[in-house]
Amino acid sequence: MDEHTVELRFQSPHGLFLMQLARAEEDGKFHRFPRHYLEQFHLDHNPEADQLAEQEGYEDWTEMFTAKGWVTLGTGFDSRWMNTELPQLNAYLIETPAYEGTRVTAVRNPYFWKVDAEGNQLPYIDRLVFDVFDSQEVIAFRAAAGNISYQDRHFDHDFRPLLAESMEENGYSLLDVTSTDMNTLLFNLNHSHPDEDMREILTDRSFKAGLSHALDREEIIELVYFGQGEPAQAAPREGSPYHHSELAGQHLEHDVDLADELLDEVLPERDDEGRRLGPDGRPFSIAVDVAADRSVEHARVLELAQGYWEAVGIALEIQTMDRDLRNERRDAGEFDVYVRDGSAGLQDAILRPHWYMPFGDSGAYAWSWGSFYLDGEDAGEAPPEDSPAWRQWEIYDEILVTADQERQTELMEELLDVSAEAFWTIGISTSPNRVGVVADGLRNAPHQLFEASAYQNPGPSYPAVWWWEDPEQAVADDEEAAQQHADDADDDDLPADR
Amino acid sequence: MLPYMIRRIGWSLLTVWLISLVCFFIIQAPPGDFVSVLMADAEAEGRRLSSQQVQVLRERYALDAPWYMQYWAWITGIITVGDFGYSFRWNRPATEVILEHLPFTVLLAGGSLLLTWIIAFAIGVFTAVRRYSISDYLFTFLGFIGLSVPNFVLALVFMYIAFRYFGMSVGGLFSPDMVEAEWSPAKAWDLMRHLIVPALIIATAGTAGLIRITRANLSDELAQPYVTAARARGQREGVLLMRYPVRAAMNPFISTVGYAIPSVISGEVIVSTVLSLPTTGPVLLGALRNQDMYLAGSFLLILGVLTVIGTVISDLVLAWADPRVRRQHSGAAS
Repeated sequence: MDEHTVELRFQSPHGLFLMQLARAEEDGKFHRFPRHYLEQFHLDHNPEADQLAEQEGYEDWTEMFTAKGWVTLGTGFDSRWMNTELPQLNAYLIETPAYEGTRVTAVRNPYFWKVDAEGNQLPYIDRLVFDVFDSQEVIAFRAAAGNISYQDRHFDHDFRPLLAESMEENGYSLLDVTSTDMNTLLFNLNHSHPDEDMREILTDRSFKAGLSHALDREEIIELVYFGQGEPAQAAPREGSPYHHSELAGQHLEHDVDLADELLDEVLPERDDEGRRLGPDGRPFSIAVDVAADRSVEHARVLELAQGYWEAVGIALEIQTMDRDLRNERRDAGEFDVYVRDGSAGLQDAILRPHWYMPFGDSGAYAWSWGSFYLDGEDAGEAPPEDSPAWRQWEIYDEILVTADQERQTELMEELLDVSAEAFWTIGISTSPNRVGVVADGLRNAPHQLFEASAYQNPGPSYPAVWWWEDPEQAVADDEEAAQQHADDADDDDLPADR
Repeated sequence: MLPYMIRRIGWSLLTVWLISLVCFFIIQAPPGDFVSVLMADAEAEGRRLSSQQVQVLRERYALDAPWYMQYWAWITGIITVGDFGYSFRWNRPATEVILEHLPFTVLLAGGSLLLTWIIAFAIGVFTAVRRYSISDYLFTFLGFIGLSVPNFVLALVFMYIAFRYFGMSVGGLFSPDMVEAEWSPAKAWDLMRHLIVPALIIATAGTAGLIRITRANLSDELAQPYVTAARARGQREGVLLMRYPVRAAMNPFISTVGYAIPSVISGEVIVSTVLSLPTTGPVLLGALRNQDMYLAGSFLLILGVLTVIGTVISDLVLAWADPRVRRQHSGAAS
């Protein structure tokens, strides 16, 4: 509209536009492709782009363009962190990308467009150094030894005592990381099971409710999660605008009689040993797929669940497998139960509602319906006509074209009413907060923050204004290199304005 | 001896070829491929790859071809132009990735092997001379502890001790402020300090066996009449020990070189991964987990070749070092 304002017009209202724009995968679509640099790699602007691609070792210009400006093949990393030549508007520019040695470094962008209240150029810190390690233990030990200035990821709950112990001695404090994850483990019962009898049982609400009442969640929290967290179903967390107490709190009490009563509605026959019999007259059992390499905690929860369900006559068979095999079995629909931790429990619930309604294939309970909704008939199959999924999709379609946030929240509540009625997945407990470290002299760095992949922590806590009380304290200090870089940058001419 | 060597090398080549075939097949055997790993990674971060993207990636990496076609392309590349294929994950030729990580690996593996020998030799000789004494039992006990405790547990324990009682920065091969420094005596010393712990851990696993063999061999030699004869002539005990029986008992050190290489390397994979060292170990593990098949295959092939070469060399060195073995072979060959 003028030199600093852009107006966007849509054919229909785009209700989640601003929120989508703020989230990780979508950020920067408007400013991340600098034309003056990237046009040399695009065939429309440079007829010789194909030759250039060949010279640089790419298949063709599309691959070269993707690698230079979007995402590098193979690593799957954003080119902004891999291509040192790409001009950017961010506070920091990559200096040494990943996969080149064991250290990734970034330096301040001398042309960053923000200044502080007194007109000082941001960011304050000249250089960021990330050391790459393969093992969580090493990261934890290094943090405990005070070798890390700031870190808010990759500390398992087990490391909390180690980190707390050396805090004062090595000059750092702990930060409290609230994950937007909302549940430690969700049982996804396959709603599109290829076997018809099985499908009928797994989708039966009484069956799911019965299994849920059979679980002793307090004991699981005590034994597996060190007493942290509260019993909960898959629902947006407290503190989220979409918190839904019925959805979060239904069927949580450990009540074996009630569980038996509910299960009797579905599988009334039992043999002499108390095992419930399936429609084929044989003892009924369900198999659960769990990825071994990801979470030891999940395996422990399942072992406990096995005991609880045996008490109500349901056999649980634990199939530990590689993550790939598990996903492959999920994509083929060949599983009874699939477990995963539940994500998207705060504001992001509205952007990624896959645990509250069939939406894409991440929510394994209705992988096929979810794909149908997002990618059309070729990708998945339609749910039966009486499925609550249809009503939820209708509401979500309306959210997408609603600009008013209050109305969005109302609609989301309606959507979650249906989730509570459908009871898609069985949850265990709320995800406990995690721990991070921040060096004492690092000022303006947060001591409390949220964590989600859509949120890209610690970005929103503004690393550009972090500063060292005493720059000598900086752990991986390499002043000369930083100064060198700053000098080099000073010599460059500012790019001419268009 | 020549026909023996030719036969020996011929068998080695056949073994190497079989190794390459088996490696490649096994890498391909688990479900999924590199693209399905990428898909799962994307999903873990809350992103999605569209089916179109997936198709493009599969075509780009030629993952839809049957495994024997992929094998053929890979193996002919290696034989004709020494090209080990492309690492998907690293986005670079596999050769480059391997070469980049090799120097530290050789340093670590060589160091561990040396340490294994020094410890095993010293304890082996000592326990043979002081057989059935308290110190014999003590060292033998320690040796077996080293053999039976898994490397990764040792690595974790050492890491804790280094952090808690010595205030060292654990993991990696350099202290934070040394990573980017120019090579200097101080940096070399820093590297040494970081290498000693992993080398020691890897060495512990191999020493127990060698200690036992040395102890047994030397005990046999010590009972020989020539030792008594030398003693009767007034030969000093230390000189006597080193000059004759120890030399005769050294054979196992040489003949185990071949086996030592793979065991040191596999120990290295575990220890380096736990300690996050920039050696080939974690890269190999990563390649296997990511189904980065050409990189993984090339690694395994190179390890296989090293083992085969090691065995051949140890055979030849043994023939050179021990006149009895040499006689045997020339006897057989003539």
